[in-house]
Amino acid sequence: MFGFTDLAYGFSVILTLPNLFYCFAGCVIGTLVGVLPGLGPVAAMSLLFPVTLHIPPVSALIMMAGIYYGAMYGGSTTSILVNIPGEAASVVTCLDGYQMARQGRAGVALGMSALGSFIGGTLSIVALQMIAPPLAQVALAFGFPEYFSLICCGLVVLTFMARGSMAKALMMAAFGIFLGTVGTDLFTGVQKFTFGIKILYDGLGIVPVIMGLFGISEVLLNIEEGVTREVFNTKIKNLFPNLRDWADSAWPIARGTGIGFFLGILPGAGPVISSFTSYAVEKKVSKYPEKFGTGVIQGVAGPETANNAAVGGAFVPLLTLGIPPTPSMALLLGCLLSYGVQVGPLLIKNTPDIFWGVVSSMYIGNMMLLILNLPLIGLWVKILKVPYAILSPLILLFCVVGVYSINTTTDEVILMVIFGVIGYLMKKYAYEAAPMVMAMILSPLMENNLRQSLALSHGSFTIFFTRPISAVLMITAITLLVLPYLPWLKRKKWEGLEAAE
Amino acid sequence: MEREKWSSLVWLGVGIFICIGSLRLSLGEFHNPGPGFLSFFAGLVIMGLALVLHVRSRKARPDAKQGKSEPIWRDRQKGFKMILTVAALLAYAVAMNYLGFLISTFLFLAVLLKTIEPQRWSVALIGSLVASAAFYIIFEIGLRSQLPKGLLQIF
Repeated sequence: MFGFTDLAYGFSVILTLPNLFYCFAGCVIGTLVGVLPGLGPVAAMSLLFPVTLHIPPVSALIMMAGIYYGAMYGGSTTSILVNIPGEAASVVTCLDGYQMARQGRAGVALGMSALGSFIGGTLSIVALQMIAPPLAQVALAFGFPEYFSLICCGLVVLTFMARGSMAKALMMAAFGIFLGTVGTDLFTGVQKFTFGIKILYDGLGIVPVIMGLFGISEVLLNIEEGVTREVFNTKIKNLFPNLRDWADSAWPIARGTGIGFFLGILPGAGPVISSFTSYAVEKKVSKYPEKFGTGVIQGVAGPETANNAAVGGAFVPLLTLGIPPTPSMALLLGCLLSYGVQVGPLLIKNTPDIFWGVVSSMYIGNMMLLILNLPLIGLWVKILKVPYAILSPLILLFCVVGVYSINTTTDEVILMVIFGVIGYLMKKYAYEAAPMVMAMILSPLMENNLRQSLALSHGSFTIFFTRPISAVLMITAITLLVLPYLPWLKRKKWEGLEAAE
Repeated sequence: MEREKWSSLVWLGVGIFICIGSLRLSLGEFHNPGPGFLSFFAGLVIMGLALVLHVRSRKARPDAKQGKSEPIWRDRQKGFKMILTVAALLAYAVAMNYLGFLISTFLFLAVLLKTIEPQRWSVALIGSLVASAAFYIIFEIGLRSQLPKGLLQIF
């Protein structure tokens, strides 16, 4: 059967005291940043970047992965208890989770989201474990055109799924592609849009851009608009859902796992979009869609399962193709590269300890998180009760130290503040930051593969349509670009969007 | 819609800037694309979509709710606080190199605690002192983050 000996090997890697410690540390820190609004897994990963340089690559990866899926667990806590999503992936959980809390069912909502996350997270690891090795074989057949088409397809899917206007999302993706080209040209050594600024020579740093766009801008917006936070003072009890709740949640959890895993694989889609999609699907198939938003458990179980299942999915393109499908995965990739680990189709074969060690650590980590999130919920609630006026300077401080730690330069801190202001304005004018960030991350890969492909085909763009894998990806991308402009589908998309709102 | 009109014009400008910059870098040939190749196309897409958005915003009938250009800040005083936070962040980034992590962090936190929602002096000062010391211990001593020493270098 699928790699049981490999998995046993993986467990032999994780079941050592130091690695268990790093896994646990990752899970705790992940839950903490998931709980704190404005701080995401990227912030936590960059804060710990310096530590990872002193420990073996497997341990670093195990800890980083723990932060990533830990944040997904933590994010739901704030959504349910305070109606403020700690994580973008938990935005939809607010809709029904908060209502459940108001009806005195906070415990069940928290319990179900933790259990759903556990099931989704675990099943997606099983799927990752089964899909990744054969996919890595297929990936060996990927050439420059296939990579380029895959990235295009991923970015188009991301803009297609964008919540607001698709034109704006596409424009943001194009701007992201431009931002990604900043730096020294790999082929000619020419400086592109660096204006003599030293920190731009290696390209715009992903960390300052992300922490600015998502962290700083969030805090600025909250300072300006003021946040009213109301944490429930009632004791949270009955964390374990009853049979009726289980019966209501079984299918949403199953569907959420599928949606999360497969959307997670696509470069760009990730946990955020899978949670939205899951919510929209649950509302669509429900017998009583009008009750969504009033505190139905399906609206919590589905999306919370999906965003954790997406984490397993997100590891597929990273570990098989070397393409990071989310910003956090881009940081993981950076971490792997700094160790000189060759990321791509040969990763599983050449460094099995990393692949199987990380996979098996995720089984253990999900179990740890269940333990951390259910009995320790009171602790996380206490953190939420700290007034925002005190919390916000600390969040800003975390962002500053995180960005500084990566390259030990304050220039990147200034870059982060600039992107914080840009992100603030983008939020005010309803432009989405996610397509921009993903495009920026994927842009260097995209440029490299585009230029190599065109050199290969002597300047003919037909190369993207004559090779079968590439053709399928390109046609999918083009179809998705055209679809929203077909009149009947336009209506459908709006309906879907309203469902998700 | 008023906001849309102006923001699309800004993006149009950004698109033009990117295209001109890319042309200067040289586009190369199709069989041998130059350094400005991809960014030029990105710039073109931005320009095109910005025009679409601009035309759309002009065509849209200004309805009663959104017709008037609403101010970017609902509350001027809070808007001012936001600008102050940005200024404090920039000053902090610059000061860190000269004053070192401990002193600059203490000042940064004290300023924010007094401005965002003014706390009592005792809370602001003691809070900043404890927090900056805790950050120093966790990140410099615990995680070896190599925070700037600045003035304290002499010790």
